Amino acid sequence: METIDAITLNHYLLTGAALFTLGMIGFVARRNLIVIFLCTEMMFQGIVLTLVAFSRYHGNFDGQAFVIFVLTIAAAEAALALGLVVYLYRRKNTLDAEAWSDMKG
Amino acid sequence: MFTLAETIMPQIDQSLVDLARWIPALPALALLINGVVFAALKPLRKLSAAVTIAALAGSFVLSVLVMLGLGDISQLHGGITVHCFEWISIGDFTANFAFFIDPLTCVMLLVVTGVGTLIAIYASGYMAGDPGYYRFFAYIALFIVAMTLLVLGDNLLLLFLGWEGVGLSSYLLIGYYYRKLSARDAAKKAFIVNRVGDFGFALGLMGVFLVFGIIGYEGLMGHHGLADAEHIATLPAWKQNLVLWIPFLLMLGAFGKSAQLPLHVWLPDAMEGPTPVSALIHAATMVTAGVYMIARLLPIFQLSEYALPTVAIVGGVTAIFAATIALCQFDIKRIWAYSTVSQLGYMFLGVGVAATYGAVFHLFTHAFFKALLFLTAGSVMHALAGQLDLRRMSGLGKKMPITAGLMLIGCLALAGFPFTAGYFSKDEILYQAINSEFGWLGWIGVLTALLTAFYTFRLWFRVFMGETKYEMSNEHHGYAVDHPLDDHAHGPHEMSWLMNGPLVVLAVGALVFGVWLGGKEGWMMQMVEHSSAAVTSHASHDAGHGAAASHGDDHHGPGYVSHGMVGAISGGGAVVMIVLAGFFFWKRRDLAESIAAKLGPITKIFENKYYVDEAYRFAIVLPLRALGWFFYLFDRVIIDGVVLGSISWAPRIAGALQKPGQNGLLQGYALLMALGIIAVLAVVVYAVVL
Repeated sequence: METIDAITLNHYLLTGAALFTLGMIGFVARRNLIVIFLCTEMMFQGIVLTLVAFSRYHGNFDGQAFVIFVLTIAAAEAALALGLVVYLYRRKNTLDAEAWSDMKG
Repeated sequence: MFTLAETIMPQIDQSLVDLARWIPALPALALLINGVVFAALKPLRKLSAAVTIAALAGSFVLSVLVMLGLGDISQLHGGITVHCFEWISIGDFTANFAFFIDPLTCVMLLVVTGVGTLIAIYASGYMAGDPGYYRFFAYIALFIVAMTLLVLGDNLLLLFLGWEGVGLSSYLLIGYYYRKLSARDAAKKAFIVNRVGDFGFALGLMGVFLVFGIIGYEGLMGHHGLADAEHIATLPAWKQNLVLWIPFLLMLGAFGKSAQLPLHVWLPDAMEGPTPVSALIHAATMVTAGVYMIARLLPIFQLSEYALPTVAIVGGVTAIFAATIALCQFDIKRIWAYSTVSQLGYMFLGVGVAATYGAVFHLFTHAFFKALLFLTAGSVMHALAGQLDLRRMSGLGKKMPITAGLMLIGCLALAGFPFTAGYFSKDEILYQAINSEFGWLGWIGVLTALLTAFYTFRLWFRVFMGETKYEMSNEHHGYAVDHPLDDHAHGPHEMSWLMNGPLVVLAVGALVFGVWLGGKEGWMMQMVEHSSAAVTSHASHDAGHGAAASHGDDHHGPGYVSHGMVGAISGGGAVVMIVLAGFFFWKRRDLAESIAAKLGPITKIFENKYYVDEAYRFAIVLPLRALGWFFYLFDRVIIDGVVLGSISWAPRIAGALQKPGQNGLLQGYALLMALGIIAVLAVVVYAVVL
């Protein structure tokens, strides 16, 4: 119990922020559609961790309830997004996001 | 507000009067069946006529029952209100969907539904084979719905609703043969000219609300009605001034709908519609709405001492104006159209000199004989494949004896041949007019009566008498056909009894209604005298002693002309003119033509309808067209040229500048978004923390 008490809110927040930032960097830097997608999931996890931490800290369950929703939607969205990725792959035979730059001005 | 409870007499059968609710409902049902069911289901369309006739006949029976429900009308004071539902209620303003039943309503209902039924029966034969059969009957049903609402409504707004409804159905039916340019133009003309009048009506309606705060007949003109000189004297000055304008504004609506000068131009063109429509809407019923309106709102028209005299003058002048035009036209339907304008002029003259009995009586008899005339003209047109030109037909009496006889009866009634219906009703108006302070209008009316007899029989003798010769036209139900020898175009033939049957009923009406219903103790007098159109005490005597004389008063002024005298002059005159017309247009057409040629310029003016259409063209249509051209050029030069050439470049340049930002790379957008978020965060953190 002591070890757990030693971990403060700041640790959770830092972990969450690190997860989010890593996810964002990955999203910007990587070209592979699947990896880009995984990076968004990582950003979700960073946010979710922050929410749970604050929820516990304030003794308010709203944040945790919110997390359940986020996870549910993330699951649904994962199914949809992976389907889209498969579809995009079939169209161009590559997972490179740069293949989809037709919309440039 | 004041209620009617105190006026309801025990002999009134409320349950019968309440049937009035169903009078507009039945044709509305027919409209739905025709317009929705038959429009969707083609095989059922041959039932359109049967459904419509049944609905109209049902309405007619209900109208009779409602009239019987009123009981002894001589005991009736005011009308009975039949409430349907609350329609509009905003603050102090209420306009209920309620019906006002009094004898005048009953007379109008009988005309509308009775003549309507007969004409629908005729039309079921006349329109047979037309591709738009169900559409035609849907429009007819719509018209009857609107017209019965117009007649039944217990407030000005409901009157206005019906007023616009009949205008709409008139527009739809004039343009029924929508593939013909002339029909489309005529429909638009009718609608637009009526807009001018209806604008006045709408303003008048608003004026009534502004001054009195109510628009119901009962509250305005009932026992303690507000439209009363004593009450108005208590109002603020601006309201007292406004009151004087209201009758003139309402009058404008009546002139438009009833085709009086100067808004008469649409009616002759309206003859582009199918003939039963000309008979029903543009002769018997809708065009008399203006007369009904003035008769109904007589107390309001008496608010200004100049209002009714104006109506009388416009009516009298229109009567002779249109009669002279009818004298020189060659298109049968147009002759009847101008004759209708002229006869409506009589009715306006009648209400204008406060002889509402004569006006309503003439409205009633005119509905019968003019419908008869139009429908027999339709039979001729039907027989000659659309031929309407007097110069291209002659002596058809041998081929179509029944039609000739029926039209002869209509012509006699229109000409005012002694003891026909038209003779009694017209003489009533002339007698009242001659003995009013506008005696000269009465004499104009007598002159018009002579012209009427002449032009009526000019037509009849030319069409049915003399040498038999004719030219077929090439129209089949309003459309030109390439194969003129189909079953409808095999030369003049008698119509089937489906079409002639209703005509016989109309003809009987045109003959006997004068003797049967006229006279001081007659049904018509009773009906009018116990309605809101009665010339009551607050009608005052500024309408002349014509009104007083009709009550049997004996203090006649120096210029008094007795009823018998008027009858003798106009009846005898009519006979002389008929003989004269027979001489010129049966025996000596060459002589008639040479006289017409000698009178060159005058015939020319009459033939060209006093150039009123041309005047409107130059005064209104062409300037508007020029304005349209101006706006077109403005649009082309200023908007498309200058504006499009300069200002439109601004967004284009702005777009070109931002274009490189859109590189189409997902990562690029994500980076920009991340940087944006970081920037916002930095600002927030800086503001909050530091």
